Amino acid sequence: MLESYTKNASFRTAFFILIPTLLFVAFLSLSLGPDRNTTLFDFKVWQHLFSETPNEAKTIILQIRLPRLILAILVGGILSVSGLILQNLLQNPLADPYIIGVSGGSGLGAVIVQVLGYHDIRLLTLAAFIGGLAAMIFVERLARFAGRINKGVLILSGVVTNAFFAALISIGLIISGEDMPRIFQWLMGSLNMPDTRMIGPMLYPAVFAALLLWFFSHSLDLIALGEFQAYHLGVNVDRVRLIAIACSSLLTAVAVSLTGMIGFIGMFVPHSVRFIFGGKHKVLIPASFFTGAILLTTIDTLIRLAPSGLEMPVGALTALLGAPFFLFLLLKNSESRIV
Amino acid sequence: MDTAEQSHPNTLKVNDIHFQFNDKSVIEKVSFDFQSRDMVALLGVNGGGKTTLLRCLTGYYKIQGGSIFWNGSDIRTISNSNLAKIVTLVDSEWESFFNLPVREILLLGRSPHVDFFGNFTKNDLIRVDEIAELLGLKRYLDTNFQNLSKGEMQRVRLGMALVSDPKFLLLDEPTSHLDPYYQREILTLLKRISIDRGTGILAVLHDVNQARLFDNVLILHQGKILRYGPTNKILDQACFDEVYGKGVFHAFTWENSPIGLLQPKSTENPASSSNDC
Repeated sequence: MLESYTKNASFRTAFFILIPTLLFVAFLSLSLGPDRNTTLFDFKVWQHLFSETPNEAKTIILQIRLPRLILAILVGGILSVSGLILQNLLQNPLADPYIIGVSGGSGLGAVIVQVLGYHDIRLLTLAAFIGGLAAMIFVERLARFAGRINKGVLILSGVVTNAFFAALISIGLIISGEDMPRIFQWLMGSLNMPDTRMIGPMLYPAVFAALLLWFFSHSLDLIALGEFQAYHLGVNVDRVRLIAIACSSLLTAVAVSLTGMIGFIGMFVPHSVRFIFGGKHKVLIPASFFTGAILLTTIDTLIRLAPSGLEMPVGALTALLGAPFFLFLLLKNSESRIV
Repeated sequence: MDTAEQSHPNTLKVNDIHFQFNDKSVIEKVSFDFQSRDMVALLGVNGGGKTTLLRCLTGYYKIQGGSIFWNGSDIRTISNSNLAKIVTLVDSEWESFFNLPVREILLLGRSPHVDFFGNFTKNDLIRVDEIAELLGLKRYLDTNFQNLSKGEMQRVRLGMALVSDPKFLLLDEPTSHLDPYYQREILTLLKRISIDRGTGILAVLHDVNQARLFDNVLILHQGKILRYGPTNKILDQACFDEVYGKGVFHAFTWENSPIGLLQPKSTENPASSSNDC
């Protein structure tokens, strides 16, 4: 029993389960879509894939489904890591970039840039980062009282922040004029990217932030005990908190500028992962990433199988599934210390 | 810093410190010396600045005037990780918001002696087991913290501090939430740690009876030190009247003996289990 802590048994189990599952889901995701004839279960499709001449199967799989798969893996993963860190910082297992208002701040930043007529993903991400960071700092400051985070105030200030940003986003949408349907669809959370070349440059900030957080995993384990304990166990709390806030805001900003506002993944995934794998961030960060990637890929694949015309934004579906889960947790914990 | 540490092994020197909270002065001109092996009870009325003083001593609250020297080095020059090896503070209100088993929480208490990446060694695990045994926590090691009773939680908090083997242990109401059996166990354990390991202990107490287990008493009143000295010389009725108000001394009596002065006859009281005070 004691051995498991030094040998990190859960680390290995986590990846023996999660990586094969992700590969399996990814395979399904490449195989399934509105075009039922193009599936990787068909040997002829494989021949097409490896043939030199351009063909329809190759285009569908490599240029439509593959970028969408990469996007689902990336966004599902980083939203989950961002949620994990937020829950830790705010001492609340119900926190999520979407619920707390960080996504709202990021969304507003990105909307402003688009209304002004810029569409460069890097500029979008920068604006989303600034907006998300501002929202995060605002909510954290509101909820913090005398060194402790007040659970009720946290959720309420998240609600208020969200409402405020939603109002500003609406104003932005109205001003945007004929661009409105496109921005609106992006905002709802969609994995349909018009320009898939935008994914590449976004990998760098995402990987950088995730690795930096992973580097500080032991400090994050201690921060999970609360700032007071972390301080007295030797953690430079201010520094770690600053890094964690910046990294989780950056991850949210990347996700928002790529795919709009996808909610509840960042609450549901870390919550479940923590339940299964315990409290070590060395395991939790990668496990959250892979679980989030698996979940969003699965949801996206299901959406694509819906009859044409019913293909709804992925953000709507995650909210549809996530909101009851949130309520369930809230009721289950109503007598305990969460809120 | 090494030479300073050698010439001042395990000492705390507090010079004229000052701390205010929203323009309201909480700690004013407090100075005192403290050595390892000292066992000091910190007494005073609610809101007298006791908790604030402890938090200033560990640097969690930044003092606005004066200086604090741990082992001869100014607290402002000691890194967090080095400070955590010297002193730790137990907060009786602390709770975990995530489901963590007791073993993991105790192990995290070992962090001051572990590298940046948290690679625990066999020794750390052995230390956790020893402390769990001492505090009667062995059968709760795999239980989640949130499912414990308040008294068990309090023992876990103490355990977290004890596994880190600090030179100084600051405790904010260490016996709150505990039943008389564990009050006695914890206090005698603290006494033993102070004698065996030479740990300096400074504890905020509300039960004046318990203070008599401590060699010295420090009375903080309105942010200032009112008395600091040997327990038996300080805790008398005059002191009581001054700190807690007239009439309190006689308000609680135990078989006609006022609290804080005479040994109660009951053997269940923690104070009576000790014979060296």
